[in-house]
Amino acid sequence: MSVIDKKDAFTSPIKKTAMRIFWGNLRKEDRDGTDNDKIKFLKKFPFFQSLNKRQLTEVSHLVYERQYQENETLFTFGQPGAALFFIQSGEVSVEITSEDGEVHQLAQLSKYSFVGELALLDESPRSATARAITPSVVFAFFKSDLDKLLETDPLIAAQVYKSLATIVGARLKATNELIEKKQKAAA
Amino acid sequence: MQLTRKELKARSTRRLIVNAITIVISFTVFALVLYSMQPLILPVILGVFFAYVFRPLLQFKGSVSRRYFRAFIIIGTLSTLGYMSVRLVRQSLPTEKQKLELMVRLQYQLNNRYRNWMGLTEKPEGNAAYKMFASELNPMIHRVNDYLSMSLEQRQLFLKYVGGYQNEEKVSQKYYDYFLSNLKIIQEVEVEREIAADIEAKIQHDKVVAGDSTKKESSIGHLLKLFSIWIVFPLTFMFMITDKGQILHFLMKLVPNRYFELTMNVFDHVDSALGKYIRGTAIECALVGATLIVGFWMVGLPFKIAILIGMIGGLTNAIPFVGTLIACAIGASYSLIVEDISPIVPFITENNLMIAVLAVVMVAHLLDNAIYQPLVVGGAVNIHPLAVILGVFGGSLAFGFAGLLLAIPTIVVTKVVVQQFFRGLRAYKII
Repeated sequence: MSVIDKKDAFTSPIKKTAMRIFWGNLRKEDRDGTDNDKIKFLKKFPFFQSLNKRQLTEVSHLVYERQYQENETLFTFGQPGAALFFIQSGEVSVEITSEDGEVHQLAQLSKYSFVGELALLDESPRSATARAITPSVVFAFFKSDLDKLLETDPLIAAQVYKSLATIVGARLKATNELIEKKQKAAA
Repeated sequence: MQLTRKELKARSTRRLIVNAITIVISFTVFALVLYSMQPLILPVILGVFFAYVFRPLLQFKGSVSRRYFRAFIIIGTLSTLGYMSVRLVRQSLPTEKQKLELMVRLQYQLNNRYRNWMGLTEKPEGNAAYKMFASELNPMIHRVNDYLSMSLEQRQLFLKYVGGYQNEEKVSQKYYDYFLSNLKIIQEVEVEREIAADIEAKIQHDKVVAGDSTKKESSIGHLLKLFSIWIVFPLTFMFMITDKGQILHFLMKLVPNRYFELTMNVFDHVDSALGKYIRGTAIECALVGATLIVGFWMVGLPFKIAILIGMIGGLTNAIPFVGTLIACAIGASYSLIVEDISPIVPFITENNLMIAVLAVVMVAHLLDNAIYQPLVVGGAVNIHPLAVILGVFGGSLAFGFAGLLLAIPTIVVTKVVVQQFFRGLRAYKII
């Protein structure tokens, strides 16, 4: 066999498949499986949309996957907030309990929603309770990890803070408009 | 499908039983494995410890290969430093001949200095201090002489070395003179005691000889065993320092949802407090060691000895109080036998070197307390001095040297963990 033949044989698809069968995708399997799914999922959120693949991989090492059963709480009103939760599957209800014990649902969140984003800014108490209505899978992203990112990879942290500011700003605008509307109605 | 109340209850009972059995079995297996792997515990702990200390140097910035490269550099530097310090210590360890010379020298210098201080060299009745304390000090010096004097075998061996033995250089005339003068002092000490000591020494010597022969036979096997145990240290270090949170992720999976946020919160606080404390203490020890080395060198100790004693003093500085005492004791006992010093600081002679050495230790201690500690350790963890003293002595009573060394870190870890844990439990309204 000539040298050229050898080279051809090496790059031929059959040979590649043979190699893959022999090595059993030792390295690739892990990456292509859970890691890639996680990265794809995270990219759906405004916090990470402008990150490149390396940065997304970095973030994917920081988020914690949790599984909640029906009626289990993600966090409770009044507790110190430490993490932001991304919902991967299931339904989560955000609710507050009034003084007379009545529960008011503020929102019902499903896949690709997030809850508890204010915990990334400070450790002030949670302003509502988040409860899984159906069995849910969520990813938790902690303030302490974001703080560490600020030192080790400031570009990622800057992107997260930027989108956080945008979200809070948009909400402020909406609240102002609501107040304005109510004032007009009262007048 | 809705489960009935009865089914739910049965299920929760089953869950309880299965969980309890799993916990008992895994705990037993864990304890058994830990017990059978006893020699591996120290290298693993050291690997984890060093990884923890050096972690900030390469916290996930850059690609994986870069992180491994940095880990390699750190481990290379560490092992070079380790190798150099072991070599220094081994070079400083005396041979049999040097040991005998050292014994002769120590006894001679001690008696010489005693006579100098007491004014016995000028007039036989001594100075005022001697007149006052002679009745107390003389028996003490006799006992020290008794303790330091050579056994019959050792004397014979020394005389062999004087004549030239085992291709070693002959013992210098100076030490031979010391030897003779020591003998005169020994003659003052009771004869019967010496005979008894000789017999005991002979038995001891026989034992040592017997022990030596068995040791030599298995030295290669011993070395291999040591290697196979200590290879775990760099491996643990490498995997711990290049870990991207997989270990934490795994541990977090074991935590129930209700305590998840709390656990992470507590973990972060503990990590930051302990990190500050451990890294701070490591830097502080290095600074104290450097100060001691410079100080000892300035008062005229040979540079090699200065490095050796400074290193020991720096390392033991991690043990409050005791560290300083150890540095004092080693420095002072070396300054007793030292003969020709070349101090940079004036007015220091062989006779007042001990005071200078103690002064160096004191200065290092003061610098440590006034500058290094507040600067690098800061208020990372506050422990009451009484707790520190009780911890150090209690630890040494209960677990010997390991207890002495690990008492304060254990107290710090326990305090931080308990404090943060209870703070978290209250904040999350669990208790």
